[in-house]
Amino acid sequence: MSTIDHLLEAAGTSAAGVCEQVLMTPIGWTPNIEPSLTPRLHVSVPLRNDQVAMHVGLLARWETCSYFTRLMMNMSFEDPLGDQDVADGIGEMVNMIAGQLKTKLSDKYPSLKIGCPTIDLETGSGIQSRAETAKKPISIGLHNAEITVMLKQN
Amino acid sequence: MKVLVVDDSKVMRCIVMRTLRQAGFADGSMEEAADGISALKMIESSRPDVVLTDWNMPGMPGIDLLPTVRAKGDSTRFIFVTSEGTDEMRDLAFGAGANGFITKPFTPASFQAVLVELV
Repeated sequence: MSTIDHLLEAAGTSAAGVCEQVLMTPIGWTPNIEPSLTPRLHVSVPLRNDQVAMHVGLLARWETCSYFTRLMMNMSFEDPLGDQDVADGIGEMVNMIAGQLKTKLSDKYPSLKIGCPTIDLETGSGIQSRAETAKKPISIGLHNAEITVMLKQN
Repeated sequence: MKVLVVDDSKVMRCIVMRTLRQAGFADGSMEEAADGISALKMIESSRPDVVLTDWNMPGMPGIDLLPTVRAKGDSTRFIFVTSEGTDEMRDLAFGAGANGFITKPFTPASFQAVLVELV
């Protein structure tokens, strides 16, 4: 298994754990998902040490990010939810995935530092062009998303 | 029990306070702070029994907040609630004088396990 595939598998396991505990919803693995007609958000968190720089992230439509945030906050769909709360919630969710990933990788990549979550549109602007990238489709309830990883060896 | 929840994420503060209630710690008051500087002022003015703090926060991170409080001779119980659960982080936290360490994502049982011993 290549390094990027190993990383993606670890990120997927981390995401599954976070979804089950925070969203109270099991994650589903799907071979592929339909292309989104609307631009998706790429929420990612950097992890780096002196060996590597990597990002773990989530590609999802705004409605999906909003759905995840409502699940996290145990809110009904009638409750008002601001854009800032959605950004905050989905950032925290990816931050937790990054934390789990850091723990899983602590033997191979010690002392990884986790940075702050960033949110970009799905144009790839948050992913450095010379890095290896990989994506893994997931489903949660009726919503689809993709776990992303980017790896750049120093 | 008076609890101060410190996290720059409003969503996470909400989740921490909900989980505290689910864990059976709903009888006391809960206050919240969005950063370490505000938390420092609230610790001095409100005198909470327990501070539940995030690690990474802009301005004053949790790991800087704790020694600042300890340097004032304040022994308020501190529990880190963080997404990073490596041994290295735990050692840093307890070395700085933390009383507990909870890794996100957490459950009511995670809070009970740590808080029951402290209160």
